[in-house]
Amino acid sequence: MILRALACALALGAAAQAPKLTVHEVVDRANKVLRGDSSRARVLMSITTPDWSRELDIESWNSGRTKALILIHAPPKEKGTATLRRGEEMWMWMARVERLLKIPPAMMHSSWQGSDFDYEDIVKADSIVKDYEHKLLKSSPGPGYDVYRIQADPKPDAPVVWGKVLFEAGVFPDGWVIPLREEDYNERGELVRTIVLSQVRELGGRRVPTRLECAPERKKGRKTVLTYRDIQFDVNLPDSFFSVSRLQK
Amino acid sequence: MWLLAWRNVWRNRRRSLFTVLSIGSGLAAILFGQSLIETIQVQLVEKATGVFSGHLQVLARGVGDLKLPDKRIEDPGPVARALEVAPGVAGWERRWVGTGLASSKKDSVGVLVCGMEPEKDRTLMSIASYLVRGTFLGRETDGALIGEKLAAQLGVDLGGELVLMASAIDGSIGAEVLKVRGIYRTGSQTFDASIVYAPLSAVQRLHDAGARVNQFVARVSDPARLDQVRDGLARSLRGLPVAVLTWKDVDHELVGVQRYQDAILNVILAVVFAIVGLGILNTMFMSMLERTREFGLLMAMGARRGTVLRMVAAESLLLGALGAAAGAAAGWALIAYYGRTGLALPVGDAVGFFMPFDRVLYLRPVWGRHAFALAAVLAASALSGLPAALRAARMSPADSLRSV
Repeated sequence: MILRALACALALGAAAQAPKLTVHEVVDRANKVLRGDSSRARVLMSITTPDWSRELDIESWNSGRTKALILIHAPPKEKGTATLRRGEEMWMWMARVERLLKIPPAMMHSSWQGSDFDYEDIVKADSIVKDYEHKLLKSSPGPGYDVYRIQADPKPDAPVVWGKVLFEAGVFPDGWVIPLREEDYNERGELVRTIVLSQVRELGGRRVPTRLECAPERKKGRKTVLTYRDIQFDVNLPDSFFSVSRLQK
Repeated sequence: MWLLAWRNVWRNRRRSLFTVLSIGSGLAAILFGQSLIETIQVQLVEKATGVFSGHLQVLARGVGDLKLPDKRIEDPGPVARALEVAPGVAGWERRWVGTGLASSKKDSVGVLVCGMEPEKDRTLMSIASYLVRGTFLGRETDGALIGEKLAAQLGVDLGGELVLMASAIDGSIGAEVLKVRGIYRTGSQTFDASIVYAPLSAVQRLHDAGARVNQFVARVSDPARLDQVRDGLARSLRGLPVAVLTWKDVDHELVGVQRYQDAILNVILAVVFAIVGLGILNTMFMSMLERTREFGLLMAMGARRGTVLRMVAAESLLLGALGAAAGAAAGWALIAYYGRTGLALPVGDAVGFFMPFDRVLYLRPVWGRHAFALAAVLAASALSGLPAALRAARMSPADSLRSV
């Protein structure tokens, strides 16, 4: 009996062991962790600059890696303003003037709602997975997970924004991966911004970092913090949910 | 002596006529060139400052980008009051200038949005005079003036809708729906494709700026006294967190183009000056050389060398004066003619991409430079006869008489 229990425990332990993940898989899983295959999230975005600071109450929906909808609930002045991504294209519904705008290529590098993220960040949310070659720099034990430090270099001719990305991910023993830190460098090798993810807790039935802080290197005193308050994964979102015509409603 | 010189001038009429014509046409060319340079410069500055930058600007102190002020004037009241009574200021207006996105149903284009006070702008700046269709902005707060190129790019026409989007001062995205009231053509591709003029109130709403502005623009009554007016205004605004600048501080491209044109045209003018000077020297030298025998005869009859020299100098001066008078008359006639009818030169096409410029130049006199050119031509004529006369005076009468 004891032996059977021991055998059972060993079997369970073996099942909980992480399958050996490739570096690419680590990056892929970390990139997907806050979005899943489809998801809905409620996020508080606080933007701090030396001149002003403001908070946005945001609801976002994702489907696959190509469709996203972001709706602003507060402040009242911007309530109803929505951003839609379908593939490489984006639209914005400006609730204040009730007009739809297709985001032109020239605006892709503009700040999204004054934050330290731009429209390109939304369109290229999965760029780190598909447009870069990944190389493990080192792995070290962390609090409950191993910390993988990965260098991502652009694939030849890939339409990338960054010249190099240094990425840290936490890999749990069961193969669950969370992103911890991202350092984005320009083509000259200068650090442009640092994104730090923290406060890992159970949300939507999954272990996810619930705080994301983005600080641009050259703009001192500026930062954008995303606080995830609620996430639901694997929600059923039909294609029409992300349509331009629905955006106007 | 002068009588003798005068008679000598008319002794060989054909020779004297050629000399006078040579001096006259040279001077006329110089006067025309001087006027052309001045006209290009003045029209370039007048047009560029009239369309956008104004003569003077008051900006918040410490602004990083003078063209797109990144700091705002929190309390425009005291600046407005100072401008109202500033000596030498012909007019002024409050503005908010910033970048934004203009979109229509067809397209979206990055633009420069210039919020201005229409009732003041109408007389202060010159954009009203470049309207090719529609009307200038009135009391409505949702009108817009756009350039011909921008209208074509966005596919909007008069009465069409334009959505402006820009970052507000609190970091939010502002948006305004405007109606196209007028379409302008300044001649500059850049200006006509990228500046949207709208009422200040609409642009303040767009940026959530309240009553704040980020620029005051003023024109002075006498552009020649620009620096004095600037200094006077700066004194009256002392203690306020603002800076007073002239178009030269703001419009570096314009100053650059001006310097470039100046350099090129001055080189051309220097070459013309040299050709004219050498022409006069050559004509006078040859005409004096022809008369070596005559000088020998005069000296054989007892004339002193000094007398011959003085006579030749007087003759040269008389010829120079006649030539200069003819040149000044021809030059003045040319400048007056093209000042009235205009001279169509493709200067606008050359610089039009960057800044607006007129296709037609209306020549204007530059009295100071003209006086200098006249004096220089007169002096060159008077002196250029002397080398031949000196040579003759140094020769013995017998040698001079043997000269062919």
